[in-house]
Amino acid sequence: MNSAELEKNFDQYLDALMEKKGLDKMSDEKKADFREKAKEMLADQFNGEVLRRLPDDKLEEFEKALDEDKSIDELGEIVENAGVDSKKVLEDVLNAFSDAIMNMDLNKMKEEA
Amino acid sequence: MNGENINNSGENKEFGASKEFQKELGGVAVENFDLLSQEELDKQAEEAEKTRKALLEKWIKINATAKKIEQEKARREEYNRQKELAASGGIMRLTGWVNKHPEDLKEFVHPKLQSGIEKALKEHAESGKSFFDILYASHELTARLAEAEAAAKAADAILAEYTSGNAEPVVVDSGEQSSTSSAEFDAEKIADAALAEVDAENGKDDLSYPLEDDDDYEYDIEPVEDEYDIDDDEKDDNDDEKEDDEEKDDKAENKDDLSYSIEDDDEVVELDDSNEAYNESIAVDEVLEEAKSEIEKRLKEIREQKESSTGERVDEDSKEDEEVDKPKEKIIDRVKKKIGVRFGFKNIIIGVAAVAAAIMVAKAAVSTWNADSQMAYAQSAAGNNQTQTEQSVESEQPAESLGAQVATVSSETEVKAERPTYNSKFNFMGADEEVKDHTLDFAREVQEGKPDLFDVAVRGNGEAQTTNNKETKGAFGPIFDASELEGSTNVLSYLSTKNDVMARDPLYMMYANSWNGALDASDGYGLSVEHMSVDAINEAAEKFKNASPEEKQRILDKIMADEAEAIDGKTMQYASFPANRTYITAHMEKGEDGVKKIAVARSSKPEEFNVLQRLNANGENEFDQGATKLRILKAHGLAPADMEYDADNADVQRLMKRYTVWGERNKCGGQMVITENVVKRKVVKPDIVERVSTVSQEVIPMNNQVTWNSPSGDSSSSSTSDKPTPDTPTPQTLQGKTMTNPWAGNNPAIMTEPTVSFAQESTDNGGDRIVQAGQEQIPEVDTSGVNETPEAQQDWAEEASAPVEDTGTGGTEDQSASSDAEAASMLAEAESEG
Repeated sequence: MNSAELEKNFDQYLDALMEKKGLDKMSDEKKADFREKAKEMLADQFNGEVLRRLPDDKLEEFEKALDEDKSIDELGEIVENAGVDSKKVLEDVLNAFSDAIMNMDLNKMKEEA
Repeated sequence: MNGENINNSGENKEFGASKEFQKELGGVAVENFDLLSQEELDKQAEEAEKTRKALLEKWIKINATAKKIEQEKARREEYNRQKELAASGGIMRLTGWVNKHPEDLKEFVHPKLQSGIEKALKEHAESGKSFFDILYASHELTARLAEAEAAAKAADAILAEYTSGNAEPVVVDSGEQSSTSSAEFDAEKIADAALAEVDAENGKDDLSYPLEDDDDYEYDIEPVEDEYDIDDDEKDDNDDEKEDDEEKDDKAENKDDLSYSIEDDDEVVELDDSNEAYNESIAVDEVLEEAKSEIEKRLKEIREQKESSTGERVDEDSKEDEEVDKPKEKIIDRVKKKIGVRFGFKNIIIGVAAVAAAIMVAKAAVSTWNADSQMAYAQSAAGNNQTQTEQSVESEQPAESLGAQVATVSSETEVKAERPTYNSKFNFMGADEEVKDHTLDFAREVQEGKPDLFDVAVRGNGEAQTTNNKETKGAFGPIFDASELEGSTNVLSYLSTKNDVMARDPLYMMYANSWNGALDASDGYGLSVEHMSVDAINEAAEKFKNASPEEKQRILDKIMADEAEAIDGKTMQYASFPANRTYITAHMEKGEDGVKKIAVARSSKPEEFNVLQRLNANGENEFDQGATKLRILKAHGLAPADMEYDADNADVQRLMKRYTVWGERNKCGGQMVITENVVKRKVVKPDIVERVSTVSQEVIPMNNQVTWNSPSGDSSSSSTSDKPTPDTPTPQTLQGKTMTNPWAGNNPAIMTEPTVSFAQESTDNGGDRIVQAGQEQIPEVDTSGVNETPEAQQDWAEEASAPVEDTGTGGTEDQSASSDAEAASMLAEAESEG
């Protein structure tokens, strides 16, 4: 699976979520907007959470490595060595996102708006 | 008529009859003989005819109305039938949350009701009315139609009587054209009023059929053709054509009528674009902002749970923590920005494969999302978390290779590993197709809820036995990786402990399979039980039974993940029983896809050994089975409901001793606890169980206080020659010993014996084992009836729950002899089978 396929996979997940929530009747433009913003937000949440679970010293090490333009593999090693289960973090993020969307009361939001 | 009409000439003015004529009439006076003029007669005849015509016209109208009502009723019946279909498809079952998620209802609704549903949904969205109120509002119409129908029937009857000539004379009042009786009139009025009401509901002005030709009196009073026949199969072509026209008209006029939507799939009332407009009105930013806030909340909870369970930091003072976190958050923000600048803000620091796997899990969760599954998941998670907290994971080792494939989403890293899918969890490790099919069939049956819990237990035992048979080693055997453990009895031992779980819970039947399929046989079942309360297990089992495969996958993933966390870094010890007397120490570590056993040490040990231990890094048994046992005992009323597990409490200890159950030698291997199948199905006979446990009493303190050689340090090296501690019984140390059963005689329902002797013999595979000696003096003891009936079982339970006395040695010679005889018998049986 390359990154394009992965992105597609991600989009499929978001589409499924929109469909399940009944948001799939939004215009294509709006759906695309949702996808892009959701991915950005989720990546931000994921990255933040991984960093949050790093011990302080590892966080410093990670930042230093980032500043030194270390490769992504090397950055990953720091995470790995710190015992952070990054895949689990992503699952947590995505599941939390799914639940948040599915439980969201859009009618109420609309009224409040 | 009177004399005034007679003129002077004697002629009747009216008729011109002369007196002569009157005489001819017999002299009858005609003064009072009043006759209508021809003109009057004609007039009255004309009136009568008009009345008749009006009456018939009215009748036609009523008849048509009645037919219409009949047709409407038929349509309603069909509507109700369809509604029932829809209900059986899930509508009714979902009433609890329909108002919250009505849009999901469409999935469960019969296609013919779709348009009605959509309309109701639209109204629901707009008016806030109850969805079902709207959907079933037309039921009221049905009631009104029934009234109309009754009225029409009354009118029909009256009219029929009139036309037959038996009706009362018609009273013609001036200016009143109606010739119906008041009763008939009332009925008609009621029918018309009811129909008008229905019409109003249907958006129609008039359902009646106007007469095409007022002058045509040849009214066909036969029932009119049912133009609204909804059974397509029964229509003939002519009717089709006619009906199509009629229905088109009707539908054009009745778009708003829910009932009409069932008439024709092609005539689905389309939603207007307001729904789309509604969705367009949703602000994506707002939605995502709210989702973000929820995510942060959830992640914080997870973090706190983890910290709490690992003792890193208990969130006692959140304000203080927030203060502490502030600088870190600043750093995190800074680092996140740097990541974004360098890799793009959509990218995440994780391997492609891992991202794909995580997405898959999330997608599966979305596709099966519903309120129930969420609840089950939450409960499952809550149960696991709670136990995890209680267990306090002592040591965590770094994940084995999670970060090995770290990359960004945008990288071109090839996938090196995929998360196992639901089916791949059944990693059969080389099993042949037949075995796979067999296992999956069983699993499927469990999924479908075919076997009840006891069937599962019984069958589980049966399967376990087959693993002990070299010829039929299969069934479940091959799904476990027994290769490292050398011998099916290891699997047997393991699986038999799983039976405890199976007996309670199909979930764990599935769980055991998936767990072992993916991992191996050495994880030990205790964790499974310890992780969830009985109630949580039962509840989860129910949910699991009805769950979709995707949902099951998610639950299993959750359980496996929690298990992996709990077991990571632990060393476990267990023993097979009894055939090859192999004791296993396995060091467990969390791997990428769960737990991997990374070190296995084996050693020959005495067969009578309390098998399941979990040793920590210091070689101490940290697996406390007592709590599990006590829970099960309580579930069966064998222990006080309010008793808390406390290893140091004397009462608890006594109960633990009494109900420490060993597996029937040739069946269940190393059972550790009394299980439901033990208690209710007598899979293990108490006397045998007790006797077997007795064997090791003197040498091995009850409740498995003996620790074996410590696997710490070099436990990663596989060894078959570990050195036992001095206290550990071995075939050598047991040789020739006679031990005393401290509980003999405590419970008459449980056969015990005071002494047991041991002898050593070689096993087929070159090892040593202990057998009981002194088996010769054994009279038969009648143990029939023990737990054979519910009453007996109750007696046993009562007996068991009575205060326990540690009487030390005791029992009778008869008991001893009997026990020895049966023990000998059992041993012989075990040997012959083993």
